[in-house]
Amino acid sequence: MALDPRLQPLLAEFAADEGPALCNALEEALFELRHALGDEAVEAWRRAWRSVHTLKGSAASLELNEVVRLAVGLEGIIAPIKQSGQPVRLDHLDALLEAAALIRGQLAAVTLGPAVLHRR
Amino acid sequence: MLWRHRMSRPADNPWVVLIVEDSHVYRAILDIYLREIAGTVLAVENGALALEVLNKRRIDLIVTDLTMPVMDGAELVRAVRAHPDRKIRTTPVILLTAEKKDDVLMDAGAAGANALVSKPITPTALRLAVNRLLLPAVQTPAPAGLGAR
Repeated sequence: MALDPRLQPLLAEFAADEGPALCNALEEALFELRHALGDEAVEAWRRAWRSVHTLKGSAASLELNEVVRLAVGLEGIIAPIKQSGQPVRLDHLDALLEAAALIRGQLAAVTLGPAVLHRR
Repeated sequence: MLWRHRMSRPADNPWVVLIVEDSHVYRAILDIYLREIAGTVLAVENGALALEVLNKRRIDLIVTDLTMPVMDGAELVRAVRAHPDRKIRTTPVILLTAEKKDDVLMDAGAAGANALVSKPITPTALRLAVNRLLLPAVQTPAPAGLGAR
């Protein structure tokens, strides 16, 4: 289904501004979780989850399906940890950060074109 | 910050709708859809700011996201339903969410929202929910002198 033409300007805005800002918030929370303990860790997980959740919702409305797919995956991993408050291994945090970077790449592809996804 | 959005077809109806949503892009999406339905559309970023607006001016309908910082949608609904002013207390609320978990949805419903609309929002789903909550009020003839509310 084609995106509602009225939402087209918002797609560009989301990909250039709000989407990357949410990725920043997600990454900051994940970096904090390398050291955070107790209530600080719970709050950081909550922020990470909220960023992913907002990314998912906005991306779905703008039909950014790959961003939605990645965000759903991240949300599915973060949600149970957020509930349990269990400590997480650093390599698992790194995997979450990589997923965040993939979302960032998808957003950049909207702004700069799909070729950006193949540059490494 | 209160975002005042353009009025569209103001003669169609006098409804004032308040959007409560932390995502700027989602506020803009809701504004596009709601401008087709309501005379005036206002928007704020969280539940606490929404309560400030409700205390200052008439709002016919609140359309709020569930997940927000500062004060989320369920907390906002609870605060509205506990408000000492009867008019504010009975304001219809539509909760928007991308959440699928039953316990979260049940909690949102238990808070006192009148309708739950799933994200991604479609214009049709939103219009149906708005009409269901607001149309009976405008179809009932108002007593003389109360037309302007």
